[in-house]
Parts: sequence; structure tokens; C-alpha cells
Amino acid sequence: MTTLNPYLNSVNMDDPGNAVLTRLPGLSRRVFIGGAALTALLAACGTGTTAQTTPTTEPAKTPKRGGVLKAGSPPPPTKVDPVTMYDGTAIAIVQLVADYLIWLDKDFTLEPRLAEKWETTDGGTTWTFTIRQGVTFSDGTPLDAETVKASFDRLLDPDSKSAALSAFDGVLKAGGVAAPDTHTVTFTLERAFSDFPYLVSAGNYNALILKKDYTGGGDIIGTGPFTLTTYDVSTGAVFTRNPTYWQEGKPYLDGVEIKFYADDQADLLALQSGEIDAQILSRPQLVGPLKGAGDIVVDQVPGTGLTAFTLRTDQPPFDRKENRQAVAYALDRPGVNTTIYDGVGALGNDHLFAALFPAAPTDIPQRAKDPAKVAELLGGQKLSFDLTFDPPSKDLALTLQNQLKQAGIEVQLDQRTSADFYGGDQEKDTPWLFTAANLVGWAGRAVPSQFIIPMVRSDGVWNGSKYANPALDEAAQAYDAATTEEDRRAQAAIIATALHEDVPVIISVWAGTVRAYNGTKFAGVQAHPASYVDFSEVTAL
Amino acid sequence: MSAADATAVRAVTRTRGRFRVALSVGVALIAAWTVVAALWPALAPYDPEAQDPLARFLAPGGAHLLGTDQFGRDTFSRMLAGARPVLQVAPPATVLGVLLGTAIGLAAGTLGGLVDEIIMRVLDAVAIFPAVIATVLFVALAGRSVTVMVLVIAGAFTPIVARSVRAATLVEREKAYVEAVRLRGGSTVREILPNIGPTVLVEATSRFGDAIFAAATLSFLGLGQPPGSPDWGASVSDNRLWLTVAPWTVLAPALAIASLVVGIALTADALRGRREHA
Repeated sequence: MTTLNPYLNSVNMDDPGNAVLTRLPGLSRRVFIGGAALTALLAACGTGTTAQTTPTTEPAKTPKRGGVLKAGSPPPPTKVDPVTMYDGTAIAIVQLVADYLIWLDKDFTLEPRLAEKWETTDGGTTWTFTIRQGVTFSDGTPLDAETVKASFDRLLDPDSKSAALSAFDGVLKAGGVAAPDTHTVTFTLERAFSDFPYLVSAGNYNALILKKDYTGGGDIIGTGPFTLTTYDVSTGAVFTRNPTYWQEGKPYLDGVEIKFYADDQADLLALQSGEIDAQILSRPQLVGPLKGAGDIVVDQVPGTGLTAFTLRTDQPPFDRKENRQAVAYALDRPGVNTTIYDGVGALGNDHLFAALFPAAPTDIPQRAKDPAKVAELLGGQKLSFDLTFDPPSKDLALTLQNQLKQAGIEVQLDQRTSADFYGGDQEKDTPWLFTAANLVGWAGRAVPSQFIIPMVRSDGVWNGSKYANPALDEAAQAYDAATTEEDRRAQAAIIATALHEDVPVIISVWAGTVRAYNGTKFAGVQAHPASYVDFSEVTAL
Repeated sequence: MSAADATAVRAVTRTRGRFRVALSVGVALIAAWTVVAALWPALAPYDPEAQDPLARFLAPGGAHLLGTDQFGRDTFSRMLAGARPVLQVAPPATVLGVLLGTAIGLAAGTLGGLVDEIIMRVLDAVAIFPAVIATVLFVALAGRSVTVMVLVIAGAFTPIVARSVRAATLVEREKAYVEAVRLRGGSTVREILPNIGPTVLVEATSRFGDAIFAAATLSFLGLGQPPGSPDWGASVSDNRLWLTVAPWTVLAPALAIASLVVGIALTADALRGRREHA
């Protein structure tokens, strides 16, 4: 999927340079000579921005067996436990050795893995999954329905500290999983939920199928393409090919090594120097300038992560809808995408349906910068407000401040530490839910309800805008229970139109993701909307 | 005049010449950055805050003398504008630290005895507390502002200056002119102060250089200027991730810091050398 972005491919590195002399009439000769010397030095250091090239990520036509892919990633902040993990490195480690019932493909289609098929017979309340036969764990233990049931029982156990509990909240609870025979698993939900297969897919990254006797941490034995050979909390992990992998002939690689780098710069330098062949968690801003330079290939895909620009609808100045709309119309969204996401993202339209979501409305006009509309909406009134955020949103905050300043809207930046921003009482004063305007990063979700219900429904637990719209509440409920695609699209349109019009949250860009790798040594390394890894089709060149 | 005398005179003349050159260069660098800090709005070719998504990571040259950063902001304009936040902090912090340190050192040196002992032990206790931890604590309690930066840096300098001033005072205190003042019941402090003036001046110039570094370090650590400030330390911190792809965004503010500190160091060395040769 391609993101239209007028800013890409438009940087001209060959601009005439003499104009600078006419721009600096106040410079003394000494300062100018010093500046010129510095310029020469700096110019000697620089390579500048290069034209972007289309990455080649397709697997080689004739896969070659063998080779070890070395990938860099930050060290996991906590123990690598599939049940409690939440960070990208731990997820990658586990995804190399374990499998899901369903894989979430990079275009958000569902690909059968350990489940061969699934269906609902009662409008989305009861779901039946048929488990693939003949699959064994890497230690020879056969996979059966009881094993799948045990995996979900573990995730649904309130005492397990499972990171998946919030995803299943209000949909599936402990006791809702049954294994009527060796190859069938049934899920009985608390309410009809048409997107349920996404919740048992890789989209809910903890939903891995583990052995019945898995008790947390220690050896992770799965049905995935690789087996974990060694793991060192400070240096990395080593994997070797799983000879009993159920997908015949795969993986092509003999093994994978994940090396830990404490900071992004070290990870990037390792890639550039050839110490590693790929990155697990590339940052668009960092690897963007490398596109087309040397051996590095950068694959990119749109994603569903976002940073919500939340506006309190129940207090000044944003209790006035026109003020919220004015801010939304003041933003140069392609500029945000280019500056913050290196053009990898997709433009947001102030509703919570990313284009990747199958029911995303397509007929709501894209909101664009419109200074005349801003002036009309403000009606001559001056708009000024504090924008609260934590360090990961600093660059976005600076860009928003700069863009809003051009529209005559004053923004005072209020940067807090992450501990302060997310600290406090969630019921009355935590900054991310109770300040007039703030920026909150939301990791990508597999289904839009995982955004809508907590963020904008009137009883949402993370409703920082304090938005309350009974029509939206009703549509959100109906969306989850919709049994036909037509009905689901109709409910999605109601929700999206309300959010677009009322602007409780501004979604300027849906973050895309990238993955950088050495294109002369390997093929088939691909980016994923959630930075997941599937190296089963990677081949050495 | 003998040949040896002539050689000695030539050596002294050469040394004085070197000091003069060092002082001239040092003062020129300080003066240049002071002028830039005051007049950067007239000197900068672009608004240092203005972003341009079409001009990200442009290499030095062309319309942007020192290139652009990840926001498409002009590096040269930000380097010029960055002089002001640094020079808003370093001079007042130096003055405050030197004043406090001089007062404390002078009191300890002239009063002596138990008072001296108590003051020096307190200063020892302050000096051994890690400066970075103290700074983080102070900023966490008081918030981030120019005033807080000035107080933090001045607080760190006070014990250092106090020690030097106390040592100089102890030397002066034993001299005959001070004894004479004491015998006639006059103020020894009033007599000693002018005579430790050169020590205070050298201390002030040395601390000024340290204050530049300290201000840049605080900003680098995110404890100084607000987000987006063109402050040199903050710029180095913000741009270090792009060191390999856009080194000019780091080198420009880093070289600015270096040039100012070199200017101050040259000035301090020249003053110290002239005093020692006087």
C-alpha cells in the first residue's frame, strides 16, 4: 500500500548556493570567513539527503538454504515471557520460536497458521477453530486442542499478569474456552464480537500457543521456525532452524542471531558497518536518510499506531467545537508525516479507522490545512493553550507548535517526564487524561474497537477528551456485534463521521513502520505494521 | 646591558607578546559571541524555529550555509540563536558563584580558627556530593528555568572559588601590611580584598569557561532549556542520533561551544600569565 505524500522525492540537493551571500548582509568579514570555513568542514562530513528508492523486499526467486541472519535490537526491559511481554524485542524473540493460531499479515489480512479454519454460527458470540493436525513442538510434543485451550486459559487467568487481559476485557473471560475434541477449540464470548479472530491472532501478540506445562520464563518451546539455543540478557539470543517445523522446507536460514544494542545510534552503526544484517525495530526518522545509500534497504509499510492529539471537550478552550476544528484545520498533515515519520505514515482524518482496517470509511473527505477556515472558525478570537506531553512525543509537539503558530494559534509546550505524565490518579488528575490538550502515543491495534472503546466512548477508561456522544456509544456497540460487512461499514461510518466532525482527538498521521537490512546479503526481510518478525522466508543471497 | 640580560629581556618580551595575542584572540571570541547573542535576530538568515519539511537534512551549502536538521531548520541560524541561552546562564552563574565563593573564602581566611574549620568542612561536604545528582534533584524540585540553571551552576562553583580565595587570603593575612592594619584596629578584609583581586579575576574567568560547559551539559541532559530551544547543548543532544547521516547538525553547536570555551580559556591563561610575570 502506498502513501500519497507530496513531500517525498521533492528535496533538491542541487540548489544554487550563492544566494546565501545576499541573505547575510549583517555578517562581518571575520564571522563570514569563520562560517565559510565551518561550512567547508561540515560539507566535507555530509552526504546530504538522497533520493528515495523503492526497496526490494521480495524473497529471492530460488531460495537458498543456509546462512545466519544477524539482527540488532534494544535489550528487553523485562524477562522474555510470552505471557507478560510487551516490548518489541521480547515479542520478536518469541515469534521466532512460537506460533499463533492466525498470523496477521502486513496488509492486515488473517493468514491461517496453527488454526486451519474458523467460523461463528451464532452471529459472533461462539467461535469454533479447527486446529492443524500433524504439528509438533520442537521437542516432539504433538499439538492438540487441549494445548491451545491451555494457552488461552493461561492468558485469561487474572492471576497470570498476562499482558493480553486488557485485549480480551469485555469480550472473553476465563472459562470461555473449550476443547470438545482433539482438533477443535471453541470460544464462547461475553458479547458478539465480529472481529474476534483478530484477538486470537498475532494482532494480540501474547496469544502464542505454548506447551501445556509452560509456567513462565525459562525455556520457551514452540512450534515456530526456529528454536532458541542460547539467551543472554545483556548480549542477545541465538536461534537455530527447527528441523520439525510444520511448514515444509522452511525456514531457509540455518539460524538467526539477535544482538542487543542499548541505543539506536549503536544499532544503526552496527547495521552500517556490517556487524548486523538487519534491525528488528527500525525508526523511520533514523533510517530514512539511509534509503538508497549503499547496501542498506529500508522496507516500509503503513501501520495502525498513532499519537492522539487529545482535546478536553468539557473545559475551555476546547469545549467550543469550533476551536477544536480550527486546530485540526491548521495542521499540515503531509508535513507532520514527512518530518516525524519520514513520510512512512498515512494521513489521518481525525477518526479512528486506519485505512488498514477493513471497514474503514473511504468517503469522508481528507482534512487538509486551510488557513481561511481556521480564521472563520476562530471568529477573530485568539486561541492559546498548553500542550502536555512526555519525551517520546517531543518532536511531534515541536512540529505541531510550529504549524499552529503559522495559523496564529499559540501553543505553550509542557513537557513532563513519562513517569509524571502517566502517573497520578487515573480517576482525577493524571496528566495524560486530565490536561486541556495532550499527546498520547498508542501502539498499533488489530481492530478499531481497541481504540474506540477506551478512547472515545463516553465510559471509556482512557477517554482523555471526556467526549460523550450517545450516538457514537451505540454505534460502537453495534459495530462489534455487526454480522454483515455492510452493517459493519454502516456503523463505522457513523463513528468516523462523528469523530471527524466533533474532533475530540486529532489523528494527524497513522504511523508506518520500517525495517532496515542489508539488501546485498539477504532477501525477504520485511517490515510489519506492528514490527513483528517472520523470518521463515528470509534467504541469504 | 650584558648578553644574558638582553636574552632575559627578549624572553620576557616574547612571553608578554604571547599573552597579548592570547588575550586579544580570547577577548575577540568572547566579544564575537556576545554580539551574536545580542543581535542574532538581525544576523540569522532564517527563523531558527521555522520548520521546513521540504528541506530536511540538507548538507551545508546552497541556501543553508551550515545545512539543516531533521525538522528542516537552518543550522546556522540555530547556532547563532543558541549563543543567547548559553550567555544568559553562564555569566550570571559565574558572577553569583564568584561573589558567594569570595565572601565565604574571605571570611574563612580572615577569621580563621573554629569559624574557618566549620566553613571548610561544610564546603567539603557540599563538594563531595555528586554535582549531577544534586542538579537533577534541584531541577526536579524547582522546575526547569534559567534561574534554576543559574542557581545550580553557581552553587557548584561556590566551594571551588571559596577554597582558592581562602588560600590567597591566608597568604595575604601573614603579610606586614595586614598586621599593621590589625594593630591599628582597621578592617583587614578591606585591605586584603584588593590584593586577592587577581586571584578572584583568574578564578572568575576559569569558572566562566566551566559555566559554559555546565550550561551546555544541563541542556544536553534535558535539564536546562525548554524543548526546541536552539541552545547549543540541547542541539547536540537532539541531533546526536543523526550524527552519521547529518553530522553538521551536531558539529555546528559543538564547535560553537568549543570556540567560546577556547576564547575564555585563552583570556584566563593570559590574565594568569600576566599576573605571574608582573
